[in-house]
Formats: sequence, C-alpha cells, structure tokens
Amino acid sequence: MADALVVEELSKSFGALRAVDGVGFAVKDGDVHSLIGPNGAGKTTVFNCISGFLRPAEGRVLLRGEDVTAWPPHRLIPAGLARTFQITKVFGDLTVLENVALAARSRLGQNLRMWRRASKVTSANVEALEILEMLGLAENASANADHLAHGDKRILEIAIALALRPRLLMLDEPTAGMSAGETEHIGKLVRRIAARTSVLLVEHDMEMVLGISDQVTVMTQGRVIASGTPDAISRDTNVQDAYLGALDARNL
Amino acid sequence: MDLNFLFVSMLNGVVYGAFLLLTSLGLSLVFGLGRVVNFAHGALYALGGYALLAVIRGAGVGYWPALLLAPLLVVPIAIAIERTTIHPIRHRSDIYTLLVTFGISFVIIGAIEYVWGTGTTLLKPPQPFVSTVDIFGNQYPLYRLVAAGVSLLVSAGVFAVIQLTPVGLRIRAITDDPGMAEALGVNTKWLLTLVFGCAAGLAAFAGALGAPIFAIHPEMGMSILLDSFLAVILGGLGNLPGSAIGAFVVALTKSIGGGYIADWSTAVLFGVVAIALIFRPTGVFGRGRVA
Amino acid sequence: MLFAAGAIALAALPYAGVPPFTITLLTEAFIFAIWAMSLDLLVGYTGLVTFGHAAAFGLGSYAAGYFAREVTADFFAALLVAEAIVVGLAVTIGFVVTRVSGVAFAIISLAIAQVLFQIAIAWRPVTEGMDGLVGVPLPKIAGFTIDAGAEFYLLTIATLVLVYLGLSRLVASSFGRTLQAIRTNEERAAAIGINVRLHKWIAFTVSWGVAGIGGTLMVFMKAGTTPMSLHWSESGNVLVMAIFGGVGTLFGPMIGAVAFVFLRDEFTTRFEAWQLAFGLVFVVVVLAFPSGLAGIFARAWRALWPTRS
Repeated sequence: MADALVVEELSKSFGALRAVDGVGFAVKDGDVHSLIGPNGAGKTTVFNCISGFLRPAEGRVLLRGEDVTAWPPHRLIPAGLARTFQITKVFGDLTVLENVALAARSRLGQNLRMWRRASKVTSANVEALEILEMLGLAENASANADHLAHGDKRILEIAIALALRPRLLMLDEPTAGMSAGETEHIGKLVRRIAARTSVLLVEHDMEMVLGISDQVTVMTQGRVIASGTPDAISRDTNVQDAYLGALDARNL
Repeated sequence: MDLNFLFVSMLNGVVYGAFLLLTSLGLSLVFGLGRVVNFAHGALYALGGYALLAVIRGAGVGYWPALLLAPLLVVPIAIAIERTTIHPIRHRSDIYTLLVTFGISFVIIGAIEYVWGTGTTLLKPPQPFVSTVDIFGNQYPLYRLVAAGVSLLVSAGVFAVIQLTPVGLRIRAITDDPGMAEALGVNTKWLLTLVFGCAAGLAAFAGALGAPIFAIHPEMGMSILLDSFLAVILGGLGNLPGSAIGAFVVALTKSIGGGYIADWSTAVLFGVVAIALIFRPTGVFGRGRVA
Repeated sequence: MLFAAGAIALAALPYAGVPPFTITLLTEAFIFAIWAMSLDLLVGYTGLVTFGHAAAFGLGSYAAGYFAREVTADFFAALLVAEAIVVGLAVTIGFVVTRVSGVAFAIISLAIAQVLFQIAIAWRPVTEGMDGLVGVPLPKIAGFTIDAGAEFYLLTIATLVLVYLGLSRLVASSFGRTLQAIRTNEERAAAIGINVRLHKWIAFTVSWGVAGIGGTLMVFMKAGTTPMSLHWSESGNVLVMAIFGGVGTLFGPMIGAVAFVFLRDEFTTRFEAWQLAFGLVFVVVVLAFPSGLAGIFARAWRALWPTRS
C-alpha cells in the first residue's frame, strides 16, 4: 500500500534565501508524523508547498501515490488532504456549527445550492455536530466563532479540517500560544483523530511531539537532519546538537 | 488626417501628461506609503483651481504669487481631512479609506458648488505668456508649454526628494515593505499625514496651474482623477517611475486617439487598462502593489 | 408576516389618498431598492466593493428601453432581452474581474462602467449620444398598458417583493453562506475546498442580473435614459444607499434607497448644497456606524427588548 504522503526533493527559495532545500520524507498510513525544527527551519514553507499555498521550485508531492505537486487547495481536498493554520483563521462572524458545516458542505459538493436554506441542509449539520461533540465543542455550537476562547478556536480549526474527512490531516502548530494543560488536551485529541486519518503535525512543543508521534522528521536551515521514531530522535546526537540543546537552553 | 494635426495632438498629449504626472505621483505616493486609495484626490485638484480664483479675485493677488499660495491653502485642509477621517480607520481594510475619501470628494465638490456655484470659469493666461508661438507653422498657446515645463520641473523635484533625502528613503522603505512601518516606529503615522498633505498640495498646484488651460468647474477633478487612476494602475500602484510612464501613456492615448476616434478613445483606453490589470494585477510597468 | 403586511400596506397607498408626487418618489425609491439590494449581494455578502454598479443598471435601462421602443413594449419581453444582455455581459466581465479583489476590484469595476459610459456617448446610432434614449413607451403586460402612477407603482412593488424574497432565500442558502465565508476570509475559504473564483463569478452575475431588473423598471418609469445613468456618480449613489442602510442585511439597503430618494428630494428643494450634506452624512456613517441604519435599528431594538438576544 502506498504511503499517505511522500515528499521528494522539495525546494523553495525566497529571493536569495533558500528556505527549503531538497527536503524529503514519507508519512505512513495511519501514523502521526511530526515535522519539527527551530524557528526559520522551513517547516511552514514545506507545509505550504504540500498544501497548495506555495508552488515549490523543485520536487514532488505524492498523496497515496498520486502526484499532486502544486495542486490548488480546491483540488487537494477532494484528493484527501486538509490543513489547519498557524494563525487562527476561523470564520469569525459565523457560528461555530456553521464554520464546520461549511466545510462539510464543501466536501459534499453542496456549496452551489442556491435555494434550500443552509440551516435545513441536515446531513452537513449532523456531521458538523458529531465532529464538535468528538472534540468537546458541541455546547458552543451556536455561539459566534469570534466569541470562542483562543484554545477553543484552535480546536475549531481542527474541527473544520476534519469535516473535510481528509485521509491526511495537516496541523500547523496547533498548540501555539496554549497553556500546558491545553497542550496536553490537544495531544490527546490528535491521538484520537489518528484513529480516523493520518496526521502530519508541525510543532514546536518537543515534549508533546515525542509523546504522541509515531515518526518524527527534524529540519534545520531548510534541510532534513534526522528522521525516525521518537526514541531514535531523542537519542540522535545530531538533533541534540542542532536543536534540542538550543531548545532546552531556552526552556531553562 | 494631416501631419500637423497629429503633431498638435501629440503636443496636447504631452502637456496633459505633464499635469497627469503631478496628480498621479501624489496618488501613487499615498497608496504606496499607507495603502490609502485617495478618491478625493480629484476634488483636491479642483479645490486648487478655486483657491487660485479666490486669491486672485478676493485678495487681488497677481497670478504667480497666487499660484504658490493656492496649494498652501489646500495643504492644511488636506491634513485636517487625513487626521479626522483617514487616520482613525487605517486599521480597517483599505476599502474603508476608499469609501471615506469617496464621501469626502462629495463633500468637497458640494462645498465648491455651495460657495462658488456650478458655473464654469475661464482664466486668461498670465503675462507675459498670453501669446502663441509658431511651431512648424502651427500657432500653439505659449502658456501651455510653460505650464507643462513647470509641471515637469516640480515632478522632477518630487523624484529628487524621494530618491535623495532621508524622508524619501523612509518612504521608499515602507512602500517596498509595509512591515517596515512598524519597525520604523510611531513617526510613520505622521509621515502619512505629511505625505497626504504634500500630495494634496501637488494636486492643488496642478489644478491652479491648469486653470488657464482647462476650465475651472466643480467637477473638473473627476476626469483627471480617473485618468490618474489609470496611469497609476498601469504603472503599478505605489511605483513612482511606473506612474510617470503611465501618465504619458494615458495622456497621449487620449489626445491622439481623441483626434481620430473622438469619444471612443476613452472607452478604448479604459478597456485596455482593465484588461492589462486583469492579466498583470501588479501593474504593467514593473513591480507595484494593487490588491 | 410582518413583511407581507408591510407590502400590502404599501400597495394600498395610492388608494388611500397619498398624493401622486409621493407615489412617484416611492416608485423611484423602490426601483433603487432593487438596485441597492443587488449591490448588497456583492458588497455585503461577498465582500466585493464595486465603484461601477451603475454599469449593470444603466445597461439594463438601455437594452430594455431600446427594445421596447423599436420592437414591442411588452414588459416581460423587454425584461427578458435586457436580462439576456446584462447577464451575458456579466458572465464575460465577471470571468475576468473576479481574478482580483479589494481595491483592484473596486477600480477595475469603475473602469468598466466608464467604458460603458463612453460607449453610450459615442455609439450615437443606437444610444443617441448625450441626448440619450427618449420616447420609450409605457410597458404592456398581456396586452394591457400599465399606466404611469398607481399601476406602475404596483408593478414595482410586486417586483421588489419577488426580488427581496429571492435574494433572501439565496443568501440563506448553502451558496449564500459560502459567499459570507469568502467575505470573512478568502484564504480560509479556499483552504476548505471552496472554489472562490467560481463563487464570486456567480455572485457577480446574479448581482448584475438583479440590477438589470431595476434598470428595466427605471427606463419605463422615466420613458427613457441618458448616459448619466452609467456615470460614476450613479455608482457612488447606489453605494451610498447600500452603506447608509447597512450592508449584509438586504433590508438595510432597501431602507437606504428610500431614505436616499426622500432625503435628496428634501435637500434639493430646500437646500442647495445637498451633495455636501449627503457627503458629510456618508462620511460619518462609514466612520462611526459601519453597520448603517440597519445596525442602528438593530441596536435600538435590542436596547428596547433586551430579553431577546
């Protein structure tokens, strides 16, 4: 069976800066695969190249064996890829339920229905409510998304992406700006989500990544320096030198 | 169609292009610096023409001092406008500043009509430029050439300030990278006010300088505003050299085309610009920023 | 219910002793209301601010007026022809202009309206230049002539009601919600697989189509039209109506159109600087009340009935 995602020799420059330089890794089906690295390592650029928000200069992206390099988002989603954003971008003036239902309708191809009231399109709403229940947001379903707490907005981001029923879910720093308790909660959610879909996680929080990942890929300065199980990564001296040391020093 | 006709059309185009240059530069500067699309720019141009009229007729000042005085009267008005209406909503999307300045142009044109009426005034060219000159057998009004020369000189001055002075450096830095505004600190907010005021001054100066060539009437700023938009869009909003080329492309197309296909020339021009912008949303002549 | 009662009450006005002059003003206001609602679909729901919405309205007027004068005064035939032309052009123009958004969209739409304005002046054999199209007959429905005054007023109200119901249905549909998502955050909408351009394109076309209905009514009401119907200041006026009333509500722009017509009438008869006054009001609304009259009403309503949240 083909891997959920294969990235080969991906490169991208901004002017003179080579942000991503020949990056390659593979996400196995059903895994939680994390992409980590210090700030400016090029993680987000890789993420944007895979999800169709940037066009890579070189390299290929394969989704379940299919070449999807530089596809726009509205083609990638039917192909089974969905993403969240580092900066929360929920639809602020729509309700929480509507945020998720929009995504569900988009997947079901109901966006262009112009007559039936959206509030009565039950399949999408039922599905949206299910996802909100799974993620513990159901009681806020009718609130305006703007009124959610920061942590809940991040979870809503994930809910929107899940409503697209991806086979690969890409999460861009879902714990950014969260407390330790919230981070742990997100970690548990990610494991629960992994029962449904493969996950590619870009993260800062080392502890969480090592705790929940099946595979970890480490980047610095636009290149991959190590790839392997969390155990192997935490023992890897390259990683310790280039990244963990720096991070530990900062945390202390 | 004889060559003389073509020649005079071209000459008219160059003269109009020189005026368009003054208005387009201001429009482009303000957009580049603050992402403010100033719809009231044309109304400020008209205000310059009326300020000239007021100073000459009301205070009995001669034409040349009045030409300097008129923009100086408009600048404080423009600064007041920026501080009270544009500054408070800069954090909102740039569409709001477009809407507000649109409303302001209504107010200014309305105020002009209220104070000076809706009529048209023609001003005689000042001494000693009333006469015409002979160019290849064509009698051409001397004042047009003088006014175009003055416009070009002032525009060159603006370019020099932008390229050579510390303030110009700041303006270019922020235009290239809006993120720089934050890095450079609080002063940038007043910088926009200052540049907005100066841009309005340039527009008013153009309005006053053009008064003996184009008639003075309340809506005189509208067609030059639309042409300036076209010039700036062609050049790429915020791109000064591009705006300069755009100004002459628009002016020459209008005046030469106008000689042959009359009213259709503007339609063709707008159509061309619309299509150009669609395929190169950042402007035809190089790097600028539109959306 | 409230809406139906309101519509019936309005329809009864000509028979309740309201002077013909007021009926004429109301007719004009309701035609503008159709136009302003069509603009709301773009500005309020899709987030596309246009400075060229006079193009759709004026083109509808020219097409319907020319056809009615040259071929038949049948209202539905003229409407059909006008719609075919307006929608046909909107599909073409929309395909290209929806590539951009924000300020670029605002200015390109202005440029396009300006092209139509210039064509109306230059294409004399059809448009009769600056003089404009004159001598458009009264419309006929099923062979019966609709008289100016009360009958035409009723036709306008019926059209307004249908347009309002249709558009409110549209904005509450999946499509309408998707438009709102695009307005709120275009990039995010794309990220959930919405084809943003396709949606904008359809919204643009529907908006022009509805504006064309308004233009058709207007040319019959005025028995003609001039290039001024395509002038940038008309695009400005309809923007003023919509924003003054409150965009994103459909109802707001309708109120805004009525307020515009009656205020303009008041100002122009009593006060020569109506443009000045209106500009000031507009600036204050954009600065201080971005949600317009509808927003002010909603706030007052909530203050009066605080139990309903």
